[in-house]
Amino acid sequence: MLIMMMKTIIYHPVRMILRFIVVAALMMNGCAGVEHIDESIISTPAAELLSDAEQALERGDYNRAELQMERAMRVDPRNGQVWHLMARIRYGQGDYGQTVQFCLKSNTLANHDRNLMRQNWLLLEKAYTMLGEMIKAEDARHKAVTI
Amino acid sequence: MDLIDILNKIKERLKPGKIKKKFLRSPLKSASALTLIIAFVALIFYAVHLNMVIRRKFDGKRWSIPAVVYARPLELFSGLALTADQMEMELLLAGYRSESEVKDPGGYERRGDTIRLVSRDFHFPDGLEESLPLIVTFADNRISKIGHIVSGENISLARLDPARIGSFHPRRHEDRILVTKEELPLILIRTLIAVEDKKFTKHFGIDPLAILRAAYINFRAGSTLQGGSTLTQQLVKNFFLSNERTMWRKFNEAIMALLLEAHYSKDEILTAYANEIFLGQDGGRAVHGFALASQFYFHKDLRDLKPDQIAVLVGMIKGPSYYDPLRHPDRCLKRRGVILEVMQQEKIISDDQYRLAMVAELLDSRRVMSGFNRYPAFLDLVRRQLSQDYRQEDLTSDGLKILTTLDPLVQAQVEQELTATLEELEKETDTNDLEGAVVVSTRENGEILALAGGRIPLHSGFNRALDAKRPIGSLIKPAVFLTALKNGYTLSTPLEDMPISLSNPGGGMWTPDNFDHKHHGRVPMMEALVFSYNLATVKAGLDVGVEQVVQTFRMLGAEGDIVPYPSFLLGAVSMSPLEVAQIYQTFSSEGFYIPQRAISSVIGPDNSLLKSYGLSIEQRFNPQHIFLINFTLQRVVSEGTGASISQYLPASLLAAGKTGTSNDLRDSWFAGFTGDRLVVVWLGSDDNKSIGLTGSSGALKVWGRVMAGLDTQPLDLREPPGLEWARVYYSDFGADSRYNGRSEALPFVKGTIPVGAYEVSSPALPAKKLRKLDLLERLRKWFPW
Repeated sequence: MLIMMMKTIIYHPVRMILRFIVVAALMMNGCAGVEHIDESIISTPAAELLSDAEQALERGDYNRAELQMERAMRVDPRNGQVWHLMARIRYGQGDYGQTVQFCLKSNTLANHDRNLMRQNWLLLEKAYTMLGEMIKAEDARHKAVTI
Repeated sequence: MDLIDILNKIKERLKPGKIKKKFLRSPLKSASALTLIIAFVALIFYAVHLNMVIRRKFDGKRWSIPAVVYARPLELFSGLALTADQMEMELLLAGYRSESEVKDPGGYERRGDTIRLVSRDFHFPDGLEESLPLIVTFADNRISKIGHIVSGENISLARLDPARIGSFHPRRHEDRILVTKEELPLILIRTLIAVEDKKFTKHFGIDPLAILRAAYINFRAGSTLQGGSTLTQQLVKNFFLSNERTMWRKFNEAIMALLLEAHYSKDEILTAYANEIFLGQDGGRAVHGFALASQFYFHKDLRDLKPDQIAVLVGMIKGPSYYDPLRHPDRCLKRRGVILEVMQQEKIISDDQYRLAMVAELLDSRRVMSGFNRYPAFLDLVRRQLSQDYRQEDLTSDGLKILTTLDPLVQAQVEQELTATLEELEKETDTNDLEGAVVVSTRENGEILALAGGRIPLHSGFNRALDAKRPIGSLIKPAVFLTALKNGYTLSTPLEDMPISLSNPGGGMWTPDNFDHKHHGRVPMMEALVFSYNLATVKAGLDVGVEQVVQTFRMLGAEGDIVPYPSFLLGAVSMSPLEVAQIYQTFSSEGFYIPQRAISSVIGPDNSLLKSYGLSIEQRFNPQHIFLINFTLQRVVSEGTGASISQYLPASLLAAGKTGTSNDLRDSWFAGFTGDRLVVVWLGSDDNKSIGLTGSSGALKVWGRVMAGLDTQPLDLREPPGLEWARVYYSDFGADSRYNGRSEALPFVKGTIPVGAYEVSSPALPAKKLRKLDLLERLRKWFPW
C-alpha cells in the first residue's frame, strides 16, 4: 500500500498536489458536502441495479446486465451512468454500432460529469476502432484526453 | 392400436364359415343379417373416426394454454411520486386482496398513509423475485419509506409482481391457468367426485345405473331434473360437442367417453376436467378451469382455497351463470350449503370445518377488481407488435408470459380524462359523436405506457390510436423547420409570411392561407413555429425543397408512402396517433430515434427469456438542431398556440408541444412532452366530418389534463456543446412587424449568430458562474492530463 502511494507520488506529483488542495478545500468547507454527495449516490434507486449490472457484466452475463439496465431506465431514465453501462454491455456483446449510440446518448445526459464523459469518449474510441472508423476513433481519443 | 385389434377380431368372427348356416337359409333373414352386419361395420368405422378425433383433439388441446400478458411491474422506491390511493388501485388491478390483517402473498392492508402487503413470487426474465412482506409509507404524494414488515430494515428498491392484463388465445376468447394433478387440492377432487360422479374411479366412461336412475327421476317429474353424466361424459361434452340435447349427441358422447377412458388414465381425465370446466363469464372472457375461477372469484391460488370456497366452485358446475356468486349470491349460497353437506357426509371435512364453512362469507375480499382484459386497445397493440417482431415459431410453445410496458395508473388517468373532456367538448360544440385517441410513452426509451383507442375504453372495436389515419396538419411544422435548420437557417432567419399560390401537381392551383387569414409580413422563423403560420412555413419548406422535408420526416420515424406535394408542408399526410407519437419521440429523446415498444420481453413456460426486445437507439439528427426545435416547442406552450395549457399545467414544467388542425376542423391534434412523458392526442369523428375544434380548443385540453394528472417532471433541455446564445434585435423585420423594437436572447449553432447580434451567456448558466467556470477551465487546460 505504502509502496503504491510512493509510486503514485513519484509518478504523478502534480495530481497529488491537486488532490491535496481539493481535500484541504473540502475540509475547510466542512465535510457536509462530501457526505451529501455520498448519500445522493446511495439513495438513487438505480444505484443497486447499476452495481448488480456491473457484476453481471464482469461475469459476462450480458442478458442479466441488460435487463437490470432496462429496469434502471424505468426508474431513473435521465441517468447518464445507466446509458453508459448499456454502451459497455453492447460492447461486450460485440454490437459496436449500438455501443457508439449509447455512448452518445450518455454524453447528452452527462450534465458536466467530466468523468462520465471521459469514460464515454474512451469507449467510443474503442468502438470506432472496432468499426474501422479510425478518424472518429482518433477524435474520440482526443476528446477523452482534453475533456 | 387396440381398436384395430378389436376390428380384426370382429372381422374374424364375421367370416362366413363361422356363422351358422341355418341362419342364412331364409332370404329375408339373410337380408336383415346383412343390414345388421353393415350397420355394425359402419358403427365400428364411426368409432374409429371418433377415436381419431379424440386423440387429435385431446392430445392437442390439453396443452393449449394461451400466452398471458402482464402490465409493467411497479418498482417501489422512496421518493417515487405515488399516493396511497394510487398504490391501492394498482394492487387491486394486480388482483391483490384487501385484508384486515395481511398474512399471505397477494394480500394488502391499508391504514391511512401506510400500506402493508405481501407481494407474490414472480419469475421475471432476470430471475425469481421472491414474495416479500412490505410496509410502504406515504407522505406529500410520494413514497417516504419502504421497509420489511418482519425485519424492519429499509428496502431501497422493491419490484412487485405485475398485473395480469390479458391473454391471447389464437382461436377463442377464453383463458385458463393450467394445473397438474398434483396441484389439485385433494379436498377439491374428493368433493368433485362426491357431487358429480360417485363412481368415477370405478366406471369405464359411462355409468348405466346412474343414467337409468336419472331417466327414472326425470320420467316421474316430466322434465329434466337430473343428469346421469359421468365426469368423463361432461369432459367430452365440454371438449367436443355443442350444447344441444339430442339423442345423437348423447350417443356420440357415450362412445367418446368410452374411448377416452380406453386411452387415458383416470388422473389424466380428471386433470383435463379440472382445467376445462366452464365456471362463468367475465365480460368477454369465458372462465375455464378451477385455477382461473379461483383467481377470478377469490383472488387466490387454488391451493389456498378454504372448504367453503371449494364448495362454491363445485356447486357452480351445475349452472355457472345461475349460481354466479357475484350476480346471484343468494342462489350460490344455498347451493354452497348443499355441497358442504355432501362434504360433511362423505367425511371430506370435519364437523367443525363444516360449521365454520357454513357461516363463512361468500366472497371474502371486500373489493374485487381486476385489470384483466380491461385494456383492449393496448392488447391489440401488443398482439400486433408480437406478430411483427417475434417469429411465429418462437410463439408456438404454450404458456408464454408476455411482459409489457403498460402502466395501469397512467392508463386509468388517460381513460378518465379522455372521457370527461370529450363529454365537456360535446356540450360546448353541440355535437354528439366526438371520438378520440391518446398515446402515452416514456420520454427517453419509447415505452408505451398507455393507449386509448376511443372514448369507451372497454370497446374492443375500432382502435383509433392505431388505425385512425388522419391528416396531421401543423404537427408537421417542426419537421419543416428542422429541415430549414439543417440548411443553415437560424431561429431568427426572416421568413415571408405572405400570400402564395402554387400550381398543384394534380392540376389546379393550391392557395394556402393562415388560420386567422392574416398575413404577418417578415417574421423570424421561430415565431412562425410558435404561432403556427402556414404561409411562412410553406415559404421555408419550398426554399429547402419538399423532398428534403419528406426525408427529414422519414428520419424522424415516418413510414409508408409520402408524396412530396407542397401541401405536405402543411400536414397533408395521414397518420395514426401512434405513428405521430413515434415522430415526436425523436424530438423528445433529443434527436435519437427509438422504436416505440409495448413489449419488454417474452418468457417461455420454463421461465427462460425467449427473446428480449432489446433497446436500440440511433442518433439521427444534429443535437444542436433538435435543441433549437425543442426550445421553440417550449415557446409554443409558453406563449404560442399552446399557451392555454397554462390552465392545466404550471409554467415551471416547461412543457414542449405542438397543435395541429386539419382542413375544415375535422381533426384536432396535440403532441408534446415534458421531462419524462410524451403524450399525443387526437380528436375527430369516425365519419370524418368537421368537429368544430382546433388543436388548441380540443386535443390540447385532453393533453393538459392527462399531463396534469401524471405528476410529470419538468422538461430540462440539456444544451449540447456547440451552441451559442445571442441577443437578437428585431428592428429589421419591418415597421409593421409586431417584432419591431423587440429583442431577445436566442440559441444558435456555433458560427451562425446573425450580424449585429450580441453574444450573451446561456440562460442555463448564470453569467457570473459562467465566467468563473471559464477561468477554471483555462486553468485546468494548462495541465495536460
